[in-house]
Amino acid sequence: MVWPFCFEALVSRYYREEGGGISGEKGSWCDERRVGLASLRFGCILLGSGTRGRGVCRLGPRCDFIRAANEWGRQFMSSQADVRSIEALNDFRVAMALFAEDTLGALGAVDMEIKRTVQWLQHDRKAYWAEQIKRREQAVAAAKAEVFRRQLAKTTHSTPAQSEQKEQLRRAEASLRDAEMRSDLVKKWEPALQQALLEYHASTRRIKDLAAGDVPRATALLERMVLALEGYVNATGPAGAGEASRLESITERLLNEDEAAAVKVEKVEEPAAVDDAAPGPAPGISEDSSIS
Amino acid sequence: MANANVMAGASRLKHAIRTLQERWRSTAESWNDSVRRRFADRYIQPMDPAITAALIGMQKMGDVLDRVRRDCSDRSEAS
Repeated sequence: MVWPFCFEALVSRYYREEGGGISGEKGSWCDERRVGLASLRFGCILLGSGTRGRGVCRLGPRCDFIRAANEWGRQFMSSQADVRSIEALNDFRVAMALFAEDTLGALGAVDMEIKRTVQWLQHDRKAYWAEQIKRREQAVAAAKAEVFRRQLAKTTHSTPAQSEQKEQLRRAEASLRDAEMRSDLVKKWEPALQQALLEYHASTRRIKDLAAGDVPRATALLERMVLALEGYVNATGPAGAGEASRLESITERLLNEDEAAAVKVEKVEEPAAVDDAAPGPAPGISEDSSIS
Repeated sequence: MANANVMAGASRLKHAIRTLQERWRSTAESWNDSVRRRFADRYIQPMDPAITAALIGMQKMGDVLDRVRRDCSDRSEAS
């Protein structure tokens, strides 16, 4: 006999909780019967047919009581498993809802960051560098004028120092070149960022669709399963051995309905999908923010 | 900073899928029938490749945003 639990502890617990109510009959029962009763009480399944160890019935698996206790234990465990599965379904339903919320939240945060950068590039940077080029051109002109003024002040007797003015001019010209280069980079990045944006949206489209469509549908399906199972269990009471398959058939029916409904929706959406193929602005970014 | 915000989104996404997968595995003890397997095929299995694609996309987008910020910023603005 292979015990799934420590039967000593099981029997002790049985006697402790039952207050020794069966002690008067104890002598007429084999040890397995006591274990069997404990099994009945705590839902332990007695398995196997080993013949060694304390309290092993000589009849082993042929013992009618053991067989009955085993059967009862299986039924008990079966019903326990089903009840627990309703809780598990409900817990997972909540987990799925949270997943959808988290996923859409994460995608939304990234979309916001992208939108900020697109607007920064398209509006802020364009104007900023155009203004900077003007200012730096003026600075170059002023520096050149200063160098020229120094050169005019040059006489046969004195040569005023020009190194500082020339360095000023060199710096002003370098600054202008940098502004022109960055203005060019802004122009270069506009289409490149648009392309990167399209690729990004293509890479996230599937998970967005799942989080916004399939996951809520799965959550609703789990909710229907939980309600149907709870309704069934409440109506019929503790489930017996055959009830696991009955409960499975309930969830199976709901899953079949869900799949049939999904097929219908896909058929309805097919013509719309053709229209969707037309070029348009990248999802998640408004037309206003798209690079023109 | 742009990349940091995108990477924060990616981390949140990773955490979300990891939590969901853990919760899904934990249901196996008490829900293990053909309906579970069909439910997994329909709703759980498609998550993994979708998340992987999104994370790769986020990584690339984060790099691009960083380069845009770096190329188009005025170094004197930061100082």
